[in-house]
Parts: sequence; C-alpha cells; structure tokens
Amino acid sequence: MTDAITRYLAAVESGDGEQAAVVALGEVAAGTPPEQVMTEIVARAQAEVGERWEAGKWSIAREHMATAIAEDVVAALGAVPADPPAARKGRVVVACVEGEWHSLPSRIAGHVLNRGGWAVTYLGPSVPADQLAAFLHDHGPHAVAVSCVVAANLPGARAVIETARDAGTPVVAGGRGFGSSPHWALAVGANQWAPTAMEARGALESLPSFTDPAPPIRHERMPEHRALARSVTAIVAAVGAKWDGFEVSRAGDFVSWAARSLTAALLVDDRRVFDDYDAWMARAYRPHPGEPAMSVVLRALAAALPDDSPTAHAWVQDAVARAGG
Amino acid sequence: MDGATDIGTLLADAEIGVWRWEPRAGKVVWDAATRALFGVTAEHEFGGTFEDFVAAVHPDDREQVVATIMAAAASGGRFLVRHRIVRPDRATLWVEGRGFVVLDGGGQMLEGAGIVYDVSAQAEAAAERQELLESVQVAEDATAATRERLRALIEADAVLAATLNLERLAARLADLVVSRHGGVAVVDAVVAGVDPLVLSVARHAAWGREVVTRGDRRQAPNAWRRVRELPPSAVVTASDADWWRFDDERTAELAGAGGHLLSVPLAARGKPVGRLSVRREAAWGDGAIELLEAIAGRAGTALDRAELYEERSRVAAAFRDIVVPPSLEQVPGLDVAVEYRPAHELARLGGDFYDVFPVGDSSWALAVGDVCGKGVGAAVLAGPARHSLRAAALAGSGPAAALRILNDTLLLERSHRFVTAVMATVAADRDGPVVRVASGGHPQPVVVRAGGTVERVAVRGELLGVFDEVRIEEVEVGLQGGDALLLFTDGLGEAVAAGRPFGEQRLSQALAEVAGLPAKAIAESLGVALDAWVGPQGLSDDVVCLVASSTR
Repeated sequence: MTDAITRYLAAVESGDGEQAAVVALGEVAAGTPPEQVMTEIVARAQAEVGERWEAGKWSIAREHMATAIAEDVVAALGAVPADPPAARKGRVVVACVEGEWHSLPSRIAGHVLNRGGWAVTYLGPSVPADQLAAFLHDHGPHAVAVSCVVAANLPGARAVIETARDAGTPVVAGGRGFGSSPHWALAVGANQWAPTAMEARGALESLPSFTDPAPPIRHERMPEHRALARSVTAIVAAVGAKWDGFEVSRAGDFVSWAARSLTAALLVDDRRVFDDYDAWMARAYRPHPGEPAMSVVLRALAAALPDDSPTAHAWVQDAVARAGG
Repeated sequence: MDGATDIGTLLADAEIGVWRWEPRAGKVVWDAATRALFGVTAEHEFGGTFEDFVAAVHPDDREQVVATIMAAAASGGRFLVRHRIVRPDRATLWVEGRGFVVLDGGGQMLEGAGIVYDVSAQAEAAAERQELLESVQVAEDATAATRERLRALIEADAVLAATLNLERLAARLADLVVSRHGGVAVVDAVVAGVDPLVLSVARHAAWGREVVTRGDRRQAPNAWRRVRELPPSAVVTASDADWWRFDDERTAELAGAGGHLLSVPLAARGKPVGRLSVRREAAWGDGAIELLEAIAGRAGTALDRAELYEERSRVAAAFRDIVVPPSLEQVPGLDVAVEYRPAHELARLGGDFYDVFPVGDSSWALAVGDVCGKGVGAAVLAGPARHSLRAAALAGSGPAAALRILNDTLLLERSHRFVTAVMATVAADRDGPVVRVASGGHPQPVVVRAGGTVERVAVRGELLGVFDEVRIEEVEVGLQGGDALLLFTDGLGEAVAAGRPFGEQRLSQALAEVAGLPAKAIAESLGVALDAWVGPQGLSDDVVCLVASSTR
C-alpha cells in the first residue's frame, strides 16, 4: 500500500491525473476494494500533500491541482461496480458543515456510503444551515452525514446538526475536525460519531428512523462562547489594524482561524481544540519579512479578545508563553 | 346487686344487647337492649327463633351472616359479624355481633351467646371514606388518562411540526401511531397537482423502514379508493374490503391480515387530504379511537402545510432554474466555472442571473446580470432578462448591442425595475480567444493574469431599463494561457461582515493567490474567501461569480 501511495504521489507531483487514476484502478484490479483505495491511498496521499503545503514545499496552486486530481480519481473509483451489489438502503445526504471547504473526505464518504447501498446526495463544501434545511424539507432523506475536517468549524457543525435534527432527521458526524473520540461530535448534537467512512456505513444502519431535536448545550463556558462567536470579525479586524495590509494577508488568515478555534474550543468546552490549532500554527506560520512573529500575533490576539472572555484569554496567554513571547 | 346484674346494667347503659341461642330448644332469647336495638315493640314482637333473627338481617347481608354463624356452630368458638338490620319501622342500622358457641362432648352445638351493638355511625363514616377513596381513584384515573392523552398530543404536535417534507411527515406519523398502538399503520396523502397522486406510507414495528408508494388511480388503486371513495368524514372501525390492503405487494399480506381496523380521515381547510388507517391484533377502545381522531385532526393540517411547502419549493426552484443555463457549456479554449449562491428563501430570492451559450460555430457568449430589488418581483424579471440577451446574441448582436436590446425590452415591459448586466463574447482564434466585453451599469469585470496581477476591465456603460438611449462601451480583452476573466454581481463586493464590505482589496488579494489555477479552483476559492469573510451569519444577497480562464 505504501508503494502505491508513493506511485500515486509521484503522478500527482507531475500533474498527471491519468497516471494517478491508473495507479488507483491498478490497485482495484489487484483485488483491493475501491473503498479501501479511496481511504488508504487517495486520502493518505492528500494528507501528505497538505503536509507539504504546510511545510512550504508545495504552493497553493499545486495543492489545488492535487485536490482536483484526487476528486477525479475518487469519482473513477466510485464508478467501479460494486461486486456483489449492496442491498438498497435509504437515502442519505452528505454535506460539509458550514465553513468547511475541505471536501475530499466527504466526497470519499459519499462514494463509500453509495457503494454500501445508500442513495447519496452530495451537497458539497460549506453547506449553510438554511440551505440544508431547505434540502431536507424538499427531499426528505432518511439521514444526514456531516463532515468537519477542521475543528474550528465545530460551531458550523453545531448549526447544521441542529437544523437536521429540528427536521427530525438523524445525523452521523465524521471527519478529523470531530477529533479522535466521540465527545465533540456528541457534544454538538450528532446522533452518532463515525471515525471512518466505512464506519459511517454501520453508524447509518444503527440510526433511528427519526430523531428529536438536538439537546441544548449547557455548560459554564457557553456564555463566553456566544460572546466570542459574536466578535470574531471584530477581533480579526482589531488585530489586522495593527499592521498595514495584515488583515488581507495570509498571516491575517491565521488570526481568523485562531479566533474561530477559540470559539470552537469554548463550544465543546475542550481547550485541546485551540491547543491543537496553536500547535499546527506553530508549524505552518512562516512570517514574511516585515510581518510579525507568531508570539507577537498571539499577544495582539489576546489584547483584542472581549473583556468577558477569561477562559479564552488564559488559553491564548498559554500559547504566547509556548511561542516564547 | 350481684356481679352479673352490675355487668348487665353497664351493658344496657352502653346500649349493648345480650342474646342467647339455644338451638336444641329452638329459641333465641334477646334482652331489653337487644330488643330495643332491633326495634321490637308490642306490635312487632320478636318471634324468638334463629329464623326470626335472620329475617331481621338486611337481605343483602343474610348469606354472609348465616354462613359465619353456621361455621362457628359447626366448629365451636368465637365469631364476629358486622351487618345491617332492617327494623320493623323500616330503619336500617349497622350492627356488630360478637358471640361464642359451646359444643357438647359429641361436637354438637350446645348453646351460643353473645352481644350486639349499633355501629351505624362507624359504618357510615367508613362507607363515606370508601366512597371518597373510590371517587379520588376515579379522579386520579381520569387525570392520568387526560395527562396521557395530552402527552400523546404534545408528542404528536412536535413530531408533525418537525418536517415539511410530505413523505417524511407521512412516514413519521405512521411510525408514531405504530409505536403507540402497534400493528400496521398506513398514511395516505393526496398530492394535488395537474395529475393528482396518492402517496402511501406503511409502517410496521418489525420492518426496518417504511414502505412507500406514490401513484395515480391505476398505479395505487387501493390507496386511491381509500382517500377518494370513502366519505371524507367516515371513521371506519371494521371492514374486510380488499382495498384496505396496501398497494405495495411486499406488504400486502401483512397489512391485510385480519385483526381490528381503524381508519380516520385526514382533512384540512375543509377538504380531505388523506387517511390514517391502522390494523392491529387488539380491539380499539373508545379512548384510543378518540386519541387517533385528535391526532388525525392535527395531521391533516400538517400534511396540508407540507403540500403547500412542496408547491412553494417548486415555485422557488422554477425561479432559480430560469436564471441559470440548463448546464454549463464547455467552451473550446476556455475553462469555465461558476460559483452561484442564490438565496433559498422565496422571500429572499434575488434577481441575479448568468448564462453561457454558443453563438454560431466558433463564438460563445457569457453574461452575468442583476435585476435590482429582491423577492419574487425581481426574480420574475431575471429569467426574461437572460433570455433577451440570448436572443439578441443569437440574432447576431455583439455584447454592447445585446445590452441595448435588453434595455429596449425592459422599457417596453414598463417594469420600473432597472437591471445591470455585463456581457462577453468569445471568438476562438489561433492565438487564443478574442474576448469583447460590454457593461450596462454593472460592476467591472476583473482579469486575473496567470502571473498574479489582477486588473479591472475598464469598461463603462449605463444602467439598463431606465433611459431610452443608453451609452454602452465595448472593449476587447486579451487573454493569454492561464489568464482568467471574472464576471460577478455586486453581492460579491458588497458581502458585509460587521458592517464592512468584502471590498476591492480583499477581492484582489484572494484572486492573486489563485492566479493561474483552473477556473473551478478560482471560483471555489472566491467562495471560501467570501465565507471566511461573512462568517456564520452568511450572505445576505445572491452572489454570482463566473470565471472563464484561457487554456491556450
């Protein structure tokens, strides 16, 4: 499998989508189920691509190209007839949560579910809650599978899950953004958590036909979460105003995601959401000449937080300390 | 006075009668107190036998009293009876009698004796207490039943309010009924339209999922008869008619297998909208029938609402469909992608439209426009505006001329709504596409060069639909391989977060980052940047971004 990943990546590296598909379909011909090729070759290779971008080895253009190739390959794998064909199940809608633009994992999940007998409607990246509601009322699927890849989008996950359950439609949640245990998925109201696309099949089978509305989230940090969620844009603007052109720069994006990660961490009452983001930022943030160092950016973020957010303040201060500020 | 007399006096003072029974002599002797208790007078003398005593006992209590005394007479020892007596003056009293029986050596009764006294006051109090307890129990039962009924209705309301999808609603109603009453539930719903259909959803606890059919008179004949041929108000509690069978053959047997049927009509706004039918093993009590009728009343309204919603969605979808081309055409030499974010609420529908279509053999047209205002009034004009540009281009007009024709068309419509639009024609050429662009009061297009520079296309023109004569410029734009032309509506630049628009600088920055990428990547990254900007509150207006990048 490692060998196949290497060959697949080499094809992607040279921009050869056809060769990438040949590698993937070759694995299928050699007896690996298409689902497994999707999750263990294409998805893993894409993770590697992400790491290369993070490390500054690959440009954003190359990453885009790799994503486009991966989508085509996944579509080709999805078109391989299932043998034997799976018994027909119900209708499921697959969607990325509000704000989530990493769509490859959910595309793969859509194909895996489809091959498991489900009639799948794929709604694509960043599906706003009201659009999902309209779809659910228009088409009445039996279940919703939501994907969240970046934990900062957990508030977006909460919004779509609430919407789905309000319509009585049960929800399976999956994707790296929900972490490696069921806690965050269940905290934001999912009926089931599925760590992998294959496990999402099983989770769908065990869902009830109908669900009650998602229970309200009640813990002591919720007021702080709500206050912070309202001020994300203002925080980003306040930090951005400190350096000329900062707000529209790549570095400005880091601040925006940091503020969202704080909001998400408060929502699920787990500082790891922010700490994980901070650790990632420490690896990926490389200021251009004239741009502030990470500890300086974090200190500006702390200063821009609203007064009534002691927890967020403490978490950012810890991050400042870790950044050596 | 001897001791016995003393006791007799005490007993008499306490109104306690003393009696003696000598079965061998066949007589019962009552003292004065006993005689007074039993209301013996000169006119109504006591006969002095056991039978005379029994005659004085209230007829309803006789059996029990005689049985108790006879048991004691047979085995000897003490006995206690509490019973009513009916006096000659018709008064009824409660008395308690305590006695003992002495047996002879052969185990036969020798004699009996005992006391008897009035316990009416106690007995009445006890009876009252019992009555009270019983009525409290009745009240509690009634309250519990009412509470249970209320709970069921609240649950039904929540379930029926959750979804606006007709099929899902019918399935959930069937599920609710089956989980509460068992058996097989079938919900039939009339789907009105040009060709009316009946949707039927059947549910049984043992089935993994509901079974659904949707069909007309021919395809679903049984469902059709249920909703169309039964009197709309009839509650049916028994019928062996064939058409109670569910139309789907997978469930025909289960649904039609014996048991007790209950079918209630579903109606709303004075018209029948469907039926709810349940067949189960257990018979139907009045409470269950009443409850199902109450649920049916609510379900009728919910089905009606779902059907109205379905119609509304069809209308909104029709409006959305008419503003976009049926599919995104492949243009030779160009890579075309679009990011279209329409408002999904009918009330928030905007007037944005876009189009990509071939003109002749080697030329293509791209258009993006915006009818001012929101809602149905704006949306209803966007489709015709798109078609006007199509017609003008197909008739041979260049971009500026096509926009002028749109202006004339709008003026003839007297719609009092102005329109802005930008149009580009692309002619395939050996050296790459030749692009001509014209604008009618629309945000200027942008060219993203493969190298990363972002340029405005300086083309000017006046609003459409206002002036008889409009000045509209037309310019040529050169696109080299990897250069992209971006046509968009003002929803992009004006997307607002915390009072600040997305703006020119942010747009340029976002575009510079994706320069040279395929059109799809450019369109998508604009979507990402826009979402990142507006955050969770989302866009307030339609947005169209049409990207055409040169592939050679």
